[in-house]
Parts: sequence; structure tokens; C-alpha cells
Amino acid sequence: MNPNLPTLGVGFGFRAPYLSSLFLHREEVDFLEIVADHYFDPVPEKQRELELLADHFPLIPHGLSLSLGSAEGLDKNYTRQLVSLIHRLKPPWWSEHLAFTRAGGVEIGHLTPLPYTWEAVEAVCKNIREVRSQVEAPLLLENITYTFRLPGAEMTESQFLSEILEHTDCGLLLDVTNLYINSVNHGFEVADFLNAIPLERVVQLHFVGGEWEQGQLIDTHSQPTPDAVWEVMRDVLRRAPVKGVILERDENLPPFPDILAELTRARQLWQGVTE
Amino acid sequence: MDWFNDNFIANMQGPDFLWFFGLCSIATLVYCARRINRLYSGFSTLPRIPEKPSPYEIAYLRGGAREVLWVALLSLYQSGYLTLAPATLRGRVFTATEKIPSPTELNSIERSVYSDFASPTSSPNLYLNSAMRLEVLCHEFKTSLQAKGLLVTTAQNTIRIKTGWCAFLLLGGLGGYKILIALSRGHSNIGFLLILEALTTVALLILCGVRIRTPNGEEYLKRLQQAYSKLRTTTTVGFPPPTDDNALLLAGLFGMSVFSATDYAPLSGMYVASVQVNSAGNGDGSSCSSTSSCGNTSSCSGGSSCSSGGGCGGCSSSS
Amino acid sequence: MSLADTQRLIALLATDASLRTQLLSDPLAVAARYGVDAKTAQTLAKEIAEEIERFARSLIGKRRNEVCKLLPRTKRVLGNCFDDLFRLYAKTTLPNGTKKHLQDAVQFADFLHTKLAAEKQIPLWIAELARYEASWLEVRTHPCLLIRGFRALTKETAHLEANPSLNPALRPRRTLALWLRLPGKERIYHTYLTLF
Repeated sequence: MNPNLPTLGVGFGFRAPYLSSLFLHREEVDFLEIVADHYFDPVPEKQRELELLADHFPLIPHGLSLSLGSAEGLDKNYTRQLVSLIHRLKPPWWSEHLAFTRAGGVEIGHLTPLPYTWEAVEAVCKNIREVRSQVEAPLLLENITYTFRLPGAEMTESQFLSEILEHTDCGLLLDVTNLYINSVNHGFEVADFLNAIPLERVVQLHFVGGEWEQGQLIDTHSQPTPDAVWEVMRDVLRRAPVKGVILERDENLPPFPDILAELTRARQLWQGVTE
Repeated sequence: MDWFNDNFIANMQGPDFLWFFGLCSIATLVYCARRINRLYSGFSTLPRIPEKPSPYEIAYLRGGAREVLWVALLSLYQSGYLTLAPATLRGRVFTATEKIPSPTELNSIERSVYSDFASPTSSPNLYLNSAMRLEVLCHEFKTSLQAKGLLVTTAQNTIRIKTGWCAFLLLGGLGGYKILIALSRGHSNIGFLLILEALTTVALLILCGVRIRTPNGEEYLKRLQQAYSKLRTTTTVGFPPPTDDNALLLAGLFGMSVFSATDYAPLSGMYVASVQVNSAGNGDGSSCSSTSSCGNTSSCSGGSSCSSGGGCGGCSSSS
Repeated sequence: MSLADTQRLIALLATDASLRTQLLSDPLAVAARYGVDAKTAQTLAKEIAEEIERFARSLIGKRRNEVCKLLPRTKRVLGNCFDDLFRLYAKTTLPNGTKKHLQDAVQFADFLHTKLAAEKQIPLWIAELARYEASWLEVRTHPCLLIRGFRALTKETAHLEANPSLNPALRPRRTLALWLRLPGKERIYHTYLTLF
């Protein structure tokens, strides 16, 4: 992992309704994360939007459907478009998920957990090697939430994550909300997880709030960040050499001042632990 | 030998000359296009959008002093220094309120506009004359925008015109000479050549005509309008109205017509009327939203943006 | 069981409600059909079938949320029925590619029109409205000339949109609608003409 990555600061996952507000408050947003899929084969309006954003903010492309965990390999069309976008933007890093979204010709349409097996480690590493042969920018892997764990696990999630990071020399996009949600739903301690992963590989964080439904916490990305997640973030910021923090609000979009308030809190939290 | 009537061009057959003329036209138009493009070659990248954009400068970029005037009128109206006098047969006019601004409260543009509009008058040339007076005060914007390669300078427009004239004289001369020769030889089938001449003239007018904004200027204005496009929802019925600062920005970016469904509707109507009376120049940019029709009988709403799908968040399973 | 087989089975379970039902009732049959060992099938049925069911429902919920945003007028007039109709559609259709939500919206509009309106389960004008909205989506995505014929798209439908609880017997009116977007351009030219 490249130790010389720039510190980008605090930002949010760009959503089109916030475009004008973003430009009215540019000084309060350090960088943006864009969903890569939104800019594949873009209509002229989206192309101009991408150029507009790229000229004014550091942009980090975040893939959704590369399906790094697919045993059958990467989708060539998706890979080609993602690589093209990354080459165009020249970001300091880019990110994808430790999951699969496609198998046996079926597009699942959402991030699906992998079995924690050596075979899965090998499949992920192979796919990462393939995509990294085409892209120089460092890749960060993001941890996902899971409603189920596949039987036959040969290791824990933290071990699975650690093995892949070490084998591929990738960085970690630690989604502290996902971590918290999994700890609540599956009954483990966040601290134990953090102690078991290579925190020195954490480059970026995601944070946001979810919703309760039928006794389970869901990562709906639709609510303000709860206190428990802020505490996890504080712990990680204290221990890991984080370079960027992103608020990942997708749904139930609030007025932009609410977004800025969360960014300000994240910035103050970060400054507080580094002083 | 009569060099005038007996040469390569004079002796060319009609269809052959049409091809020849066509090729000459294309070559001339390409040359003109390249010559004009070289005028702006020093400005390859667009300037960044400023953190605090000036509604006045944007208005000037979009439509000159006439648009700056209306931003100032809106600002004075918002601040309570101007109001609308009761409507008369001649329409509505501005008038001063009891609130008198101190010299430091207004910028130079607002002061000039206030002095022009404080006394109610329905002079048809009021807006035009006021805008002309503002040109001097807007000189700073003009210089700044020209320095950034966004507005065409007088010198550049002169070159455009000269290039166009030279090309016109060349092609017009060539075609005109051939028409003369054809008529003198008793041929009257000059229709296609006349059509080609007309098309070439139109192409030259488009290519070499006077412009206000450079290609970068057009692109920069579109970029500004796109960056602040979401502010337009604040001018839609059912949405919270824009803040005062945002309203000035909207006026600068899109013109006062954007307020037709808001509390500023009377001003919007007056703006449209003044544009119709005093229309000159090619004014503002697109009056249609970038993705909707500029046509007629349509129900334009086609739903929301189609390319912004979801993120990677989960979804509750209940509907 | 290999990783590829496991993933294939999970993908099928997540997207096929009938397969999930069958897994619960007869895991051995599922095992035989998909080349899965019996123990794995039984473990899946016993331990995580409920979670997979919840996951599957959330997938449909996610798709529905995105399609709602793309067809807001249709969503407004259908109200709560939108969710039920979408679930009906989603059982049999799965989009793919990088613009899957767009594809979902267009296919859902087509489903409303070719299936539900044809079987008179929903008023024709609502299905036509969905088709109309989907046409806008298509032309925004790809520059083209689009000409579509509608049977119930008139000024009356605008009134019905504001009052969707009314359900008068609309006289079918043939309407021709045209959209044009040139390559590389954003502006869409649109008009429609009610013929007879």
C-alpha cells in the first residue's frame, strides 16, 4: 500500500440534488466520492456534471458492481468502463466492495456476502490482480453488511479481510456504520474486530445512519449518524492513518445544512483525536 | 486573347464549376474556422467557478449591461428601496419607497440604477438608457471576462468580420464572375450556383458573425448554469422560495423570467416586456432547461433524472 | 461445494421466490437440481432461509425505490398499488447491465401496459402514463428519434393525474408522440398530437 497517499479531508458521497448547494458551500467540502456506475456511458448532462465536479473537487470513484468476489471472474464490459473512468479522473485511489453481485448469469443487484473460505480469498485476489493490472491507482476494499453468513466458514470476517488485504496490498475503506450494524445484528464486539484487522491499511472511512426493521439494523443510508457510530469512528481515527472520511447519505436526503453539520462534526472529531 | 472571357474558370462546364465552387467554399470555410479558432487558442482551460460568484458579473457575461440592470433592480426591490407603483394603462413602473439608502449601502451599479428608477416614469427607453449608462460601470466586468477569454474583444470581432468579408468577397467574386460569364454566353441555368452562393453566405455569417461570448464563454456560462441549476426548484410552486442572495444569483444566471411563478412575478413580467421592447443583441443563453423541450404542446415532465441510480446502501424489506 | 456453485445457488435463491419456497419444502430436490450436496441444501434451508428471504425482499425494495424515482407520476397515480404491482413484476423480471434501474423502469412500464392494462387490471390511461414517462427515460439515455402511439394520452389524463381516484370511462383517443434528441446534445424536442 502506497504510504504517500494525500490526506483529502472530509467529504460526502455526491448526490445530484445537492449540486447547487455544494457549489454554494464549496469551502466546507474537501472532496467527493462518486458512484462510478452513474457515469458509465453518460448522457451529455452527466458527462458535463462529471467534468464540472472533477474540475472543482478531488473525486474518488466508488464502484458498485465489479463483483470482486465472483468465482467466475470479472465482467469485462463493467471492468472496461470502470477502468476508463478511473483513467479519466486520475484519482489518488478508488474503491470497491468485498462482495459479489453476480453469479451464474444472474445479476443479484446488491452486495452479497462471501463465504469466509480460502477458495473465496483466492477468487477475490485473482480478480483484484486482474483489475489492478489495468489500473495504477490504489484500490481500497470496503467491508459490507450482511443479513446472512454462509455456512462452511474457515475463518472469521476479520481474518478473511486481513488475508485479502495482505495478499493484494490493498487499502481498506472501513465503513464504520457497516461494522457497527454487523456487530449489532450478529453479536460481536466492534473492538474485537478492530483489533484483528490491519488498521495501518485503513485509508478512508464511510459513515451514515441506518434504520431498524423487525429487530435488525439495516444499512439504509437514510438517517443521521447515530452516536454509537460516531464513537466507532473516533476510535478508528485515533488508531488508523485515515486519509479521508466520507458521509454516505443516499436516501431520505435532508437539507444540505444537515449534511454540512455532519461533515463539521466529523472534521472536529478528527481534529480532536489528532491533536 | 481575351483573358477575361477565355480562361480556365470561364471555360469550365456548369456541373464541373459547381463542384469546383463547392470545394472552394469548403476550403474557405475551413480556413475561416481555423483562423477564428486561433483567436481563442490562448485559453484552453475553463476558469473555475468562483467560491462567491458575482451575480452582476454573471449577468454581464450572459447578456451585458441590460441583464446587470435587472439584477440591480431585483436587489433594490429586495432591500425595500424600490417598489412597484400601482399599475397603469402603460404597465407597471418602479418607484422609490420611503426607505432611502445611504451612499455606502449600495454599490455603484445599484446607485446608478436607483437614481434612474426612483422617480416613476414610463419612458419606453428608460431600460435601454439606464443599461447604456451602466456599460461604463460594467467596464471592470468586461475587462475581467475578456482577460479570462470568456468575452470576445473588439479586436477579435474585427478579425472575425474581416475574415468573413474576405471570404465573402472571394467566393462571391468567384461565383459572381461565373454567373456573369454564363449570362454573357446566353446560359440561364444559374439556379444551383445561386443556391450554393446563398448557402455559403449563410455559413459565413454563422461562422464569422459578431459574437459576444467566446466558445469558452459559452461553455463557462453553461457550466455556471448547470452548477446552480438545482436552485431553480426554489422558483417552482410548492417549494420554499429562494433566499435573497440566491435570487440574485438566479437572476444573473437565468434572467428574471425564471421568477414567473414566484412573488417576483410582476418584475418577471416587466423584464420580459422590456426585453421585447428593447431587444438587441443575442442576450442570454438558453431559456429552456437543458433536458426539456422547447416545443409547444408537450407535457414536459418526464420524471426525474434517469442516470442517478442508487448507492450501495441496503433497503428495508418491507414496502 | 465449489465457490462458483455456492454463489450461483445464492444468486438464484435471492432472485427466485419459487426456488426459496422449494428449498424450504424440499431441500433435497433443490440439491439434486443444482448439483449441490444434500447437507449444504439442508443447512441453507435450516439456518439461513429466513435471512435469504429478507435479503430477497430488500432487493425488490431497492429496485422499487429506484423505479419510483424514475416514474414519479406513475407512482403518484398508483399510490400504494405501485408497490404491489412492482412486486408482481419483479417476481418474473430481473434487469442487468450498468443501467439496471433504468431498464427496470422501462420494463415495468411495459409490464403495466402489456399485461395489466391488457387484462384490465388497471385503467389504460395509467399504463399509458407509465409508457409516456418511460419514453422520456429512453430518449434521455440514448439519442434517438422516438415515435410512439398512445391510446389514452390527452389533456384529460392531466386532470386525472390530479384526481386519480376518479375513474371515468375515457374514450380512447389515438395520440402520436414524438421525441428527438440529437447525439451529443442535451435538449430534447418533444411534441404530441391527438389524432382521433
